[in-house]
Amino acid sequence: MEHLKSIATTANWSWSILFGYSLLVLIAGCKADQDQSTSPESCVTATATSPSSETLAMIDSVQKAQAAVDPMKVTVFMCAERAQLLKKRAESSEGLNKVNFMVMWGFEELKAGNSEGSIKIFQDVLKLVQPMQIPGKEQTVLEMKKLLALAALRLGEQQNCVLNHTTESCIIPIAPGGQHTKRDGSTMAFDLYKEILQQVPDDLTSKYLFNVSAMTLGMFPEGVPASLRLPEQYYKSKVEFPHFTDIAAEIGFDKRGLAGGVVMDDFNNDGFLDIMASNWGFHDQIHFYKNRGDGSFEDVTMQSGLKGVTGGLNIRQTDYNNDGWIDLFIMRGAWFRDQGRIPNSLLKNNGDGTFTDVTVKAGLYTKRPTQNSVWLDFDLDGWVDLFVGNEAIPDGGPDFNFPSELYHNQGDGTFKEVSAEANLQILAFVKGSTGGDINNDGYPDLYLSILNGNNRLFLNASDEHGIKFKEITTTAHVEEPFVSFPTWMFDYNNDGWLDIFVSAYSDGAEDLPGKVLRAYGKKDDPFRPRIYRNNSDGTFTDMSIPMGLTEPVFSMGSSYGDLDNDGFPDFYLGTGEPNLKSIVPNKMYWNREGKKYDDITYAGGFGNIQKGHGVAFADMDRDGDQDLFAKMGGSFEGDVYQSMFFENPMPHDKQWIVLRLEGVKSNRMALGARGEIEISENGKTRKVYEMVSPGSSFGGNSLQLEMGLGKAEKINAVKIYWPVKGNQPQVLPGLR
Amino acid sequence: MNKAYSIKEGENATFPKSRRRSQIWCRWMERRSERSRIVLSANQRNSYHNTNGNNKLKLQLESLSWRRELHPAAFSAQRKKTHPPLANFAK
Repeated sequence: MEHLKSIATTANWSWSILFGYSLLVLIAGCKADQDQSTSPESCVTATATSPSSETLAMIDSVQKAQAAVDPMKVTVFMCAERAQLLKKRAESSEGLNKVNFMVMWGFEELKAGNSEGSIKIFQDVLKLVQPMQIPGKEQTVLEMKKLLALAALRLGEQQNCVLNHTTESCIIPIAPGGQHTKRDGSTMAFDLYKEILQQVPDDLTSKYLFNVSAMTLGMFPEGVPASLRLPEQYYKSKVEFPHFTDIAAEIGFDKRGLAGGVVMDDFNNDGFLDIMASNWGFHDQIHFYKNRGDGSFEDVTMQSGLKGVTGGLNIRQTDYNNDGWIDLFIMRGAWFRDQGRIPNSLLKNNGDGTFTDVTVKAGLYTKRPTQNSVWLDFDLDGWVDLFVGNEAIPDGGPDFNFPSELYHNQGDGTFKEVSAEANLQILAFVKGSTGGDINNDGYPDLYLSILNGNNRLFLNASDEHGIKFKEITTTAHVEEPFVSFPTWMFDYNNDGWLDIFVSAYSDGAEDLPGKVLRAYGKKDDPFRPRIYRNNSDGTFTDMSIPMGLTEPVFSMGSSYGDLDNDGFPDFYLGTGEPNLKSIVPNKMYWNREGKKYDDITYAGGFGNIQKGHGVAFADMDRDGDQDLFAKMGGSFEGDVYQSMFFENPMPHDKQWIVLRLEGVKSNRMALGARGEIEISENGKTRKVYEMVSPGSSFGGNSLQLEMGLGKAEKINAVKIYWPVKGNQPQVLPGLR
Repeated sequence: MNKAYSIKEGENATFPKSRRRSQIWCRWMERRSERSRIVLSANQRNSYHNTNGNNKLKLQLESLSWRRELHPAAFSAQRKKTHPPLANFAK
């Protein structure tokens, strides 16, 4: 048990312990880094760089804000502490009160990662309840058995997928190499779910988890009674696709952690894409991996002045000061509702391998729960502005009054809040935001994904007086789904008009496994993702059903890219809902020439059932095709998992081009610029479009344009639509 | 096609650089199978990710040794560090 507890808490607490000492004794950081890192050589050559005074001040501010969080008002952290409190209450109670406290105690232990402890507690609860004469006893016992089964299944995941991880661990359908060798947990879960389903055969969540437990034991399908067995085709893609392999362990990215964000981009301007990754735990260190360019990566966090920079469910790259070095924006406080008064951070890239926190100096210091932001030049003055989507509850009173923010970049390293002047006063639970020029007038527009409310679309109406927006949600028909999460703009059908993708999230009414099975074979589930085709007249058409996106996916992390270089963007959805029952596969969808999406989750080996968060597509190994990084790990403090890195194994049978843009009049990173390439292919001409963007609102693609060109025989024309006034493209005749 | 270009706004000058698999990475990828064997040998169940750290450290050292053999330049204490903005694809 201690063994598992140490795993569960490593991600959260080790760094907090470390920080107390390492700020004073830098050399100690090297040793600690060796313990955490897969690159021990980094300690041989690395020199730790102390965070700047500005960064230390922000670290202090963040820590104080986190310390102010009331543990009884949040459910994701401090589970172990709450478990101890509940244990004491259970021990001092009698009868039904004791049972209630024991159930809560056991569940907190489970969330904390102490699965063995929770199993023992739930077993004790069952013994207590059995002789009791209480109303609804049968139902109570059933629910206890479900909790016990879940704890047992979770134990199996921890003992195998986490502690004895292989590249096939927890990837559905589970191959022999991923089946559990420590079988106690899954065996217990299998037996319990079988018993439960005899009593409630229509419990779809239990049915799903029963089949998963069988799969982990190598007993699917034969070992599952026919009446309870999911159809084998459920775990098969309808089309063939090359199988991708997770090589994170080989290249040093398999660090365990909780939910977090990722940015895959060139932070040191050496031409190779680096990785920045965050974990949302209060004490979880952000990590910066430098691409050595030889197939290996070096964790240079400690050398980058980032020691002690923690938290961040999401991160985003930008270049706020147009110096040509990619800066970083960390978003904190999301999901904490009234307890989420934790500041975001803007980290300036100093160009010498270090970062300095400039949040206060830039005028961006506020304390609101944030998970998404958009960096675009909304008024086309050559400086990227910032929209910050916050999590407000409109009728929740002053404790939940967190308006979203719009900042105009003053061009001198500072920002001015202009949401009122811009007609963009948003008081909603904003879970995703994305920008792009939907009407091809040159000005970037804004789309917001709202949890428990209609999504909203704003047309950019900026003029010489400043940034202005005009809402066109109703006429554009882009409100659904009602419970939304990640979103992005892309041109999925290459018609030259940006389309909108927005995925649904849980409304809490039904566990995801049950919801997925209930929707299986149906087409109009309200929780399906939406892909809105731009009709080029200010309106959009929901194409989710004709495009084959009919399955509910409670996605969080996500992004798009072009796996097969055909010029049509594919996408990956990380199923990161915190619920421990939501062990449903992360999903990959293959764009078939803009006409439909095929689910290639199982054929491609993408179906990891652990929680998927920040996702990035980028050509990391510079071989012309896009690889995939997924930041794995859940929300509860014990739900840690290894990140994944899929090296693209596709045959190099298609053409591609990479364009790295540098703005002069427009913002230097060319955020919002669009590339248009006309190619000749099989005797016909067609165009491929891509926008300079990090991708999904919960993703972190590179800002370089990595464009697949299909079977192109030649490039006829390359045009760049820079984000400047006038909207005239630059034609580049020399590219072939 | 099959190249990377840096494009500065307003300038038609382009900087095509051959980008078809950087040579060093290419060698690295070609040796994947060998490296995988090393990883897998240390990645046997009950050893890899053992929290006492010994086996993981052993794996790291094996990996380190392997990398040193293939890429001695990568382990130079003073690696050349250049940062020409947005134009260095020719490694």
